[in-house]
Amino acid sequence: MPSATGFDRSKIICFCRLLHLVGVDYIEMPFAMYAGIQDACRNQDADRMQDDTGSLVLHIELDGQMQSFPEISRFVCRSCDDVTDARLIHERQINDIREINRLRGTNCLSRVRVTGLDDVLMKDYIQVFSQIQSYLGKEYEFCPQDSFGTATAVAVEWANNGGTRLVTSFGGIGNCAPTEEVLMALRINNRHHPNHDMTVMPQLAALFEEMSGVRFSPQKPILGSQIFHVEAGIHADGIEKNPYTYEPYEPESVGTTRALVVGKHSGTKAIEIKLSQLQIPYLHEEILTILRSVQIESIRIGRSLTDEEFISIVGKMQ
Amino acid sequence: MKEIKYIVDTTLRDGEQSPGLAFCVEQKVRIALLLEELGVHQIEAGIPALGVSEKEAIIEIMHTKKHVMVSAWNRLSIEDITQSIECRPDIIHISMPVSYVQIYTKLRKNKKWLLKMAAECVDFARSSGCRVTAGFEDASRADIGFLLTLSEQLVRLGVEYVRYADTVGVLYPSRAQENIRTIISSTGMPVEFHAHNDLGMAAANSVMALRGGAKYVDCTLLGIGERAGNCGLSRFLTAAEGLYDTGVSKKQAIAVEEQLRSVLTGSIY
Repeated sequence: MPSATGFDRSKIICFCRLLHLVGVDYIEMPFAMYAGIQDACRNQDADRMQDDTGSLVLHIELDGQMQSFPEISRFVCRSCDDVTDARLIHERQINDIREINRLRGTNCLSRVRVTGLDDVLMKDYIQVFSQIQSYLGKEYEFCPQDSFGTATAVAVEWANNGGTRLVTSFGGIGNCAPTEEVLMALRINNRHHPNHDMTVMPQLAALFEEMSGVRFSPQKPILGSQIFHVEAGIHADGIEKNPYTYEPYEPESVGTTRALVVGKHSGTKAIEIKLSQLQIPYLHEEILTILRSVQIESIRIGRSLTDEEFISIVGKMQ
Repeated sequence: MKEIKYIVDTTLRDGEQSPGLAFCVEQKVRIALLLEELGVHQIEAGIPALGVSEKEAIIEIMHTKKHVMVSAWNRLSIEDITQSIECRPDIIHISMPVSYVQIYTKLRKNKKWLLKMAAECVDFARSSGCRVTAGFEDASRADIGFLLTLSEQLVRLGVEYVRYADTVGVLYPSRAQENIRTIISSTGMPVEFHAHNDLGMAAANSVMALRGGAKYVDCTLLGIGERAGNCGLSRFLTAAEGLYDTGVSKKQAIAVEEQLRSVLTGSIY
């Protein structure tokens, strides 16, 4: 059911629960969005409500808005004045490393989030992280922004240098580091949250697309529908022997499967595998002829072949 | 004054290997001309061993191009290199699987065999009069000690530079910088960096590889390539243009990428 604010309550709640499954610790949303699902959360039993709201962070615009949400224990605000309320995270936008000195006077705040630093990777970023830490201590939050296409890398480097509270967004919406990329990078390189269930990524992506209207590219890291498609002969052969040769992680770990397509770049091994997958009997001496026909047809139509087109080619030759 | 770095465009090789894509001869030649106009240093034009159409495209690109360097990609195979020599490219690039999973599982060989084949193939390619570069496939998961041994051998054999390939896209920036720096400082071999975008860090890793001393960086138009793609040209320029002079304008790169997008209508892009 759409809420009064236009958000579909059940989808938002489902999306939040899936985010927890993949390894997200806290979920931030605008207070207006939460207002739309607030009744649904309150009407649940106490334990479930605690599960759903205990990890929520509301983005507010004024100090007074905190009073409307007594069940929420964390708020983030860019312009709030209250320096004493421990529930409040003060967001500070730092667009350029020359602005870091502005953080010097913020150690009186209970919690601080540093947002921005888009180009920090092109500077001496370890020195920058160290300088921020000297002003704010270790417990500050960091939300790297992505104007230079490097936010995921900045997030990973920040975590590698001792950072513990990282703010990201699913799919990278809002110019943040994409949550799914950061989670997978930390899982592969740091063994972070290795047991969290990332197989729900396709569900998350589908829900996100439905709610936001955004469409992810088939090549989008982690989420793309075709990132585990393989055509090149050398890759198909390698993956057949051991998927680890050409895959950074198992497709099943993110809820998808690999698929072999045939086309201009296929080799004889790929043709053999495809024939076996489609349960088409063949003679070994036919393989090269089939491969050449597949390559010619692929170049003619300017793309890989569908299974139907492949079956048709083989049928004409046998 | 910004430091000069060189872009190697692999749209017509690794980019085209993206499942779903198949360029005809005319498209490859057209894209090569656009890349030359754009000012990239080198075009990796394709894989001659793929067959007649690919060789025809590379030969045609060699006939029509003016100043840009054109290279042809090869497996570690005399037969493949023979196909390349027939195309008379400026550079013959020989790819060498270097991680243990690639050497022992995919090739079902060992390090000794690889060192021997590398020497044979490089000698054979150089005897044709072509310039030769080598590719370290899956370098980011390889033993750095073995990479240094291989680099030292390739320096002696006259290979101009080596490509450090993050074949499955698992590097992170500080490690990219450190590994490139180690190869250059230990062997004196110039390095080209080749990224994949599996974890969304292709552009960042490429910039950090350059900061580690790499001289060349591989890109593709629109970031096309296997799985989540390669390092996209305009994305790379967005990250790197404040630090380096590549001779390529980001604005023009975006315009060429849009032209390619129109060519790719009907494919996944």
